[in-house]
Amino acid sequence: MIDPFNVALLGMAAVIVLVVLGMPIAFVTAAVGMGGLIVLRGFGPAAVLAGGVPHSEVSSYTLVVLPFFIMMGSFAASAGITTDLYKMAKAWVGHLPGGLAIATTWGTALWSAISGSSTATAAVMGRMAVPEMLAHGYDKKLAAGSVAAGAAMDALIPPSVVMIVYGLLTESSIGPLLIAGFIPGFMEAGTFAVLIYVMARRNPALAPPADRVAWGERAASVFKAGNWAFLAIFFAVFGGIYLGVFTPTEAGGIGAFGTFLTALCLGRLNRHTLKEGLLDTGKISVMIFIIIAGVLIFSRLLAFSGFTQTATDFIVSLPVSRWWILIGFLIVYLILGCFLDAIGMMALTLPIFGPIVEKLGFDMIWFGILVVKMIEIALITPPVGLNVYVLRGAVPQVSTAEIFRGIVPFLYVQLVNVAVIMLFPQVVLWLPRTMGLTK
Amino acid sequence: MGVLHRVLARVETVLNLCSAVVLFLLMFYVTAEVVMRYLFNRPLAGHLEATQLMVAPAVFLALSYVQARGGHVGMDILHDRLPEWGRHLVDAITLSVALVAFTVIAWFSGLAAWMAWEMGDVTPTAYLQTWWSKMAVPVGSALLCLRLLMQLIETVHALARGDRA
Repeated sequence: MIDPFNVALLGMAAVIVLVVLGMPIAFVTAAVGMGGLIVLRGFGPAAVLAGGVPHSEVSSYTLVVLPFFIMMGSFAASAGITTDLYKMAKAWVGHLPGGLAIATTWGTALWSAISGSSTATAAVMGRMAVPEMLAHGYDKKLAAGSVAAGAAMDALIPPSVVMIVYGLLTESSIGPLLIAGFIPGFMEAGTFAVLIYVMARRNPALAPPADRVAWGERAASVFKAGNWAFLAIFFAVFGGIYLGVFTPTEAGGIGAFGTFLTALCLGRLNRHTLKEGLLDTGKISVMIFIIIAGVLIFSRLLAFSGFTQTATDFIVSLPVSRWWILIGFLIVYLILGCFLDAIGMMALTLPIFGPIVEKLGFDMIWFGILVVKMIEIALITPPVGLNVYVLRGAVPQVSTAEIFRGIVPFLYVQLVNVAVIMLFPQVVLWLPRTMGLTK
Repeated sequence: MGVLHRVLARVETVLNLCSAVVLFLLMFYVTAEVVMRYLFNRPLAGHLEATQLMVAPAVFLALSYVQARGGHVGMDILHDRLPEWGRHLVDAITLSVALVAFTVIAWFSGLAAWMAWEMGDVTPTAYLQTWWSKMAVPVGSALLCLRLLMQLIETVHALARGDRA
């Protein structure tokens, strides 16, 4: 008789080897999970599992929230909401020291509240804001750094694809998780704005002041179709989730429909953009769904073999403070961030880390925010730094090295943000605890 | 081989479009459900189960397309640094593993879908037929197997050519 624990260990080794060799994570976890279950339970029962599990794992009402939020961002971009939000932010703060960069981070933060994808944001904002800042004589590093770091906020500010995937993989409730991202997200946007202001005050050459915009024009910049649509959709979606009126899936559906309608009414939707947006949504969703299905199959192997239980008991019994274990996990994310993208990192770690963190008595929503913070850092640091490469593709006038150097000050501020969240969990937990649903 | 390639690519593109359309229609469906429930107080019966059943077709029909376009999440840092023959060798191994796994999935999910059809399997509360949704798994997986097989053949060819050179 083979020891189930060893089968699980062997399975984990196989997963690591195959992933390192470059096999897609979804296939690795599905194949190894199934193989392990065949060894443990025999071919018959495992075959029944193979026949049923792929269908049952993806047939979830909750899962649909993901394509809806991706669609929402895609239609919102077609509708030109990005442009209206950015122009509004620029009219109000553009004349301050570093004002255009501050407008960029705040335009991005607002935009993040209806868009789910950080890399898409980096491309869109990069194409719009960087040329404008450069034309005003802004330092290339500051211009690029503010866009790359700002776009990373999209992973934190709901709706966020990364956050939803975290929720699906840890099987936590999606609504509170999304709502929890608001305060840390806007806290980050605030600290970034302060950082840019201070940098520009100390060295005015970094950011020559832009013209002050007249009050009438500022007011006019607010009353744009895109901003109205943004406000309506934002309150329908998150007001609905917050008050417990809509499930996240319903809210996502309504949000996607709202942005679709906006783009249609403003005459900014043609057959081509519609088709491209839908195909893109389909591709990203399928990629993520199939990973979630694969990982859940692998999790079954870990749970069935008793591995999850044993590993959790072992780690929890270690004679060190639970905080060291938590910090250790966060460091693992920073290291993995050098090799994998956000979804891959979470897929490979959460089946093991999730139960341990929960057993240690940490709040899973709070841990989720910390994981997202690590992902944000991974998005803007070498060697993967996905946002940096996307931005580089969108703005060829700035070099990769300049972007990375521009990010450094933002990285320090980001670490301060992480420390604040760790020391004061209520920053994350206060808002979701006042929600209609959680009571 | 060339013809098969074109046909497969065509089928993948069409099914991928179908998958996107399913997601788009779901958006209208969920919105309609909310409007009916809150504005007219007439909830659509069985919308939860209907939505659930739509997901599998959306996912599995696009599976092969995503594989063909290299859209799956993975780690390429080592892969990209290998010499060409090493890359082909590694690809041959990973493609074989995936091929075996998805052949098993395609076969047994096919049986499961067949059973659902034979026995008239329905969802627990709204009594919706499930076979059409379950059918998407073997169809999508079989198509993926075909795609993986073609990629495997190409890789082995490349490997053989490289060894001789």
